[in-house]
Amino acid sequence: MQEMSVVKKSIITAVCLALCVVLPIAFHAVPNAGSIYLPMHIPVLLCGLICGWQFGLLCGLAGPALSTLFTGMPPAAILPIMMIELAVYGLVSGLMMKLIRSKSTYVDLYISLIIAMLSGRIVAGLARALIFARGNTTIATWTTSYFVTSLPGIIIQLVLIPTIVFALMQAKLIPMRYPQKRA
Amino acid sequence: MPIELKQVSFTYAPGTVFETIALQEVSFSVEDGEYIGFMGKTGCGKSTLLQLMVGLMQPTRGQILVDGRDINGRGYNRGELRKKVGMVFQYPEIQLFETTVEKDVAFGLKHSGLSSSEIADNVRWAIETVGLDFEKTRSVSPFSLSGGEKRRVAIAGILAAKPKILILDEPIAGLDPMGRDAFLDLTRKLNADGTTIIMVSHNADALAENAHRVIVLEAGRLALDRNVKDAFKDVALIEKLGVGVSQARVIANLLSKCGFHAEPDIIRYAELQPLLLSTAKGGRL
Amino acid sequence: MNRLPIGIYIPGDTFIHRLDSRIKLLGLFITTAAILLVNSILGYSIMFAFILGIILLSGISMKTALNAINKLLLFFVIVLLMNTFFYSPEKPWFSFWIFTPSTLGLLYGIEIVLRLFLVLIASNILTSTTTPMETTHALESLISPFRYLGLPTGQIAMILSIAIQFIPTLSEETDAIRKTQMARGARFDSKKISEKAAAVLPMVVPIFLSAFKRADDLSVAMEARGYRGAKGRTQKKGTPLQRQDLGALGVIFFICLLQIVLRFSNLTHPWRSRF
Repeated sequence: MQEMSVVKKSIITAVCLALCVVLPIAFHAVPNAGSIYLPMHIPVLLCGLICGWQFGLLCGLAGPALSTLFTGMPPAAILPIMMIELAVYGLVSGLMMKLIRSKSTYVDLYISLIIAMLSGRIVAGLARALIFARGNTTIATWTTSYFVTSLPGIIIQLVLIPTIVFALMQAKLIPMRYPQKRA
Repeated sequence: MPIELKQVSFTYAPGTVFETIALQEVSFSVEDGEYIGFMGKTGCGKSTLLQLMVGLMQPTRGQILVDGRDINGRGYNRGELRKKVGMVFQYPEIQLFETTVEKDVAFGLKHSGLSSSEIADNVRWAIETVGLDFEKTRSVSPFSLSGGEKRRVAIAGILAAKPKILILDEPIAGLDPMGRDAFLDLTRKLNADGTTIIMVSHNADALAENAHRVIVLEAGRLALDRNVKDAFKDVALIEKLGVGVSQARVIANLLSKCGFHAEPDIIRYAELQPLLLSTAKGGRL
Repeated sequence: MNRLPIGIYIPGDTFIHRLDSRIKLLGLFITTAAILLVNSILGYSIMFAFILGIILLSGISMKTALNAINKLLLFFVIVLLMNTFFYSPEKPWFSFWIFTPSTLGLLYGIEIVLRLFLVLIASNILTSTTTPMETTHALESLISPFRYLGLPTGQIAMILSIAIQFIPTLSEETDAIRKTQMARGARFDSKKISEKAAAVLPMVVPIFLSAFKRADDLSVAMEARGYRGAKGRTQKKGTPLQRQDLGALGVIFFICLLQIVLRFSNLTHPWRSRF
């Protein structure tokens, strides 16, 4: 995934940004879908995984902001925390993909995703505690419990994102990570 | 398996600044085995009407009955509707997502209640009906196929449920002439086997050759509903509605104006041929 | 899609609508800073009056402005409660398990909610009077000085512009894909997590495939035309700032300075210390 030109990575980032705005609308239009899906996380994580940490970081910061501007969701109160959380997702997923080379794309993706999602939630939890409750430690406990309850959300991303990455590689839209192997 | 529309109206975003009236009091009914062509200028409400007919949206007013039952009524099972009515959208190949062709075609049957052997049979039949080699393509990734093949796979995905009514929105857009002919042959064959076909198309030739009946929408209202020969006879009206008649009809008209005797109900090439031949042999040219 | 979402652009031709979007965005940031500095009754009164004034100038009805807050009422209550019960273990009303409700906590909670409220209204005024395109361009302008610190602002600007252009296209396509799959019988109401994940695949995979295909086509087209990067990229000459823009900025600066003075001088007391 390093063989793409800067131009291509930039445009992919642009597309992921647009999807940060578009996907939440699509998900909410589906009846019975429930709210455990986290549609805005998908393009940001993908951007970080595929294009690298700088683009992932940009996507994570600008994605929620654009979405608030264009659709009013997330509401401006939640926006800063969401920007922080998604920025960490994009940053860490990109960094992990650079550092981890296990010769299996699946393993690389899973590890990067898990670490990114956990770090994002922890940092967001800390930020929330800092901003709303002066760094009180019991609040920190509250926020930790927040990311445990979003375990279903984590599992869903772990299913969705590698599937999307492989579909993209098969369609030859992004380069294979390990060209020799099939995965 | 008739469909009936009774005074169906639809308004987008009612009560906001973006309010748009898409359909006004559209009524018509469809009998089993018909082949109906839908025409109309862009923005006349065709796509909205199709989406209402497959239950993707609910009409603001009016009723849509399939087999005599209101599809938006209480207790109506949408799953049943999906089995009866299949819809092929424009550029259907965007729907492909599975890892193999076989799995993608089988997708619509997952909740259908059929046994896995029935599903396998339907999938095989569907893939072969669209003209693909089942053994060669079944385990291939849909994304590695050519554009035309992708479209066939997508259509197979809809056919696999063996719907009694097939609705198609501009299905031949973007196809080369051979692909177009192959596709229209397919619709003719399905119709001959009993499937009701409702096809939206700008291509008047395709409709003239295949459809029994033409419905034209204008600005959300039903403007014309006649059998295809009568519909295309009135060239002036058709053009006023913003659509066209078949080329055979146009040529027959021109010949009429030049003084040749052309039957007013010529709309197909086959019907035009004798006229052209006789004109070439003995006429004033 | 039946109601307009909150905080979205409402077309109009008021003074606020006509202000340069860069000033509005910068003004929002400065106003937010000012709000975070306030801690006296006088200070809060000034901010309330200022924001009320802007609402009146912007032609937005009070109902619309407050509408956004409605949805967040629960959030405010939670913040208030969290702070009341957990803020400080000293001087509590009573102590029960991990709960230590105190007056200090309650007051702190009220202050946070108050500040949030003001910041939210202010940002809503921005989004109601400025189109998203204008706001994004304003952001691009405001970050351009950072290029001297090494930030690739030209490239960021390009990415943002292209993203905005893609939004309507991808929105239509996503809608088409969603409808297609639903017409095929896609269902989303299963309970098991693995099934819930699998349920959205038919929507999500095609969307990304189609979006990335467009990205591919566009980047090939750009490179074929000699695009090598955003350095030296020129833009249409922007409109210069007018007197009213500078005037508005001046007013906002003044208010902020006022708050700084009020806070750090002895002219006012923090309101909480009265309790």
